Amino acid sequence: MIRVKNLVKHFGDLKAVDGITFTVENGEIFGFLGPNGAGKTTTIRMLSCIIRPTSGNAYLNGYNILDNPMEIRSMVGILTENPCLYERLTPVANLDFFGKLYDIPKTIRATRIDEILEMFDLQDRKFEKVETFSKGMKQKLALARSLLHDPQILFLDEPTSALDPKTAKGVRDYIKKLSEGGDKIIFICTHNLTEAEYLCDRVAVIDHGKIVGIGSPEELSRDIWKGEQVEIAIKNYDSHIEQSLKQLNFIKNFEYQDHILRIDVNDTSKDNPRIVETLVKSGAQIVSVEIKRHSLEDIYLNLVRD
Amino acid sequence: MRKAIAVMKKDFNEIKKNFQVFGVMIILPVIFGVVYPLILYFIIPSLVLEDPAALNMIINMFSGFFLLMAISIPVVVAADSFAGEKERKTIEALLAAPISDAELFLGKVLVSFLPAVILTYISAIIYCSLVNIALGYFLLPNSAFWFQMALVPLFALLGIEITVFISVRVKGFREAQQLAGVIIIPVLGIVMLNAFNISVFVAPWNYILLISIGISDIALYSLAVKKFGRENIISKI
Repeated sequence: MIRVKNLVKHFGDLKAVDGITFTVENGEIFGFLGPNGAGKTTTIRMLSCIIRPTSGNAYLNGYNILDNPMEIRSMVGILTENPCLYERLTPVANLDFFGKLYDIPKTIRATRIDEILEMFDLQDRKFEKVETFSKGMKQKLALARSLLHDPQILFLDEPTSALDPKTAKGVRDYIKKLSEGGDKIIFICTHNLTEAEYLCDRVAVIDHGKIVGIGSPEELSRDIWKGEQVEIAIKNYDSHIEQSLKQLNFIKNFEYQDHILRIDVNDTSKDNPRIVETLVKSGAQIVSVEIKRHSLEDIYLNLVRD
Repeated sequence: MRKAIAVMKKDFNEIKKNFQVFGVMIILPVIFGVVYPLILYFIIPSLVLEDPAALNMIINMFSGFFLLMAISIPVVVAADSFAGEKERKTIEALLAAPISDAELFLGKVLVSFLPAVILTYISAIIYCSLVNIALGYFLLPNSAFWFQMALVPLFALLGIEITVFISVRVKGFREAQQLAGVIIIPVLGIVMLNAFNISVFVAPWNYILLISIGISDIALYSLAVKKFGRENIISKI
């Protein structure tokens, strides 16, 4: 579990992170979204104990970032925005070096390296210099390095940036697979909202160092638009139907346009059955009923206004 | 210590594949340890008879070059090891790993320090042997030469510490190397004084030099460890 309490980071006069507080549960894929310079990378750097906060604290599986940096570094894996690979060395030399730093015993290190290279389809190139690798291969190797010590918490900073669509999908699928049935926390910083929507259970949106929204996309949507909207396609809309809808006092607003009836309610799961029942009773010929979902992009653009 | 050695080995493996750095590590010992002694080997027989004073000056000057070597090699290696990681954007994963600042610093110091000291001593042995063979009698190492050899690790450490200070503040290898290169100038001054028989390698100047460099090393080491904090490094990426 990650528990962040009032975390602040100043760089001179600049408040890079301004009092953020949130919690991430075990087994969650958590998205950290925000524009460039919003404080995403600074937050990851504080949580992985590369830099110290100006004030506040964070607890990762019971250890806090101020007093237990070594314990935290041992339990987290990090994929930085740049792959951070020693390009003149081979994948085996890169992983062996980090295996030593993460205290993987010599007796199992070679086997573990082989396993992880196999997992990422890099076995055939394991003795070639990294500088000969494509961007996608380097990213896979960097991901392999972050997983080498089987971390309980994984920080991924823009994991698919600069990757071609096929490789990006491969990396996304792998991240999804990693979280299945386990209690690992996967904390992803990304600009890619489609990716965040596909991968993340919950997201936090950070802007100018402050968290401006946190929750599942559905929760955020409800919070922003103060309810939900249902779209009902009706063939024979008339004044009788309109009158019957006006009788339903839980409806906040409705409009009919181009054969589509748009109704604003608080909670579609509770209100939809009653709306449909009323419409059918008043003779409406319903073609379709669809809950209008706001995409993560809509949510993000609403929260990050500048 | 185990992790410091892992850092040292990794850096050395990288340096071996970087001609810009490894070239300096090879060329300097070859020049000071082989080329200069060979020149002496051929000119000594005639100078012994014609101009013993000039011979003495040349031997003294060439002897002093080992101090230049002791400080030049670590400047290049340390610039690559510290600033090079930033330039190649490899430092962040290393800083996120469970290694203390002190272990990381020690690993980086060892990879700069050990090759410099070992190569300087090997070159010095070759130099002394060739000079003695050419002269036909045992001249080197004399007391001044021994004294210079005692200064080799101290100068190497000084070079590394100054390079660390600079590397933490700059973004790239070349910038670090050029700025740190300035440290060679005072050493060159000592070498030239020595060549003109104004030796600082005789008492009491030798002891003053030894103690002052030793104190500078100790003071700069603790400052360098402090400056080598993760935050200082990451802020310059």
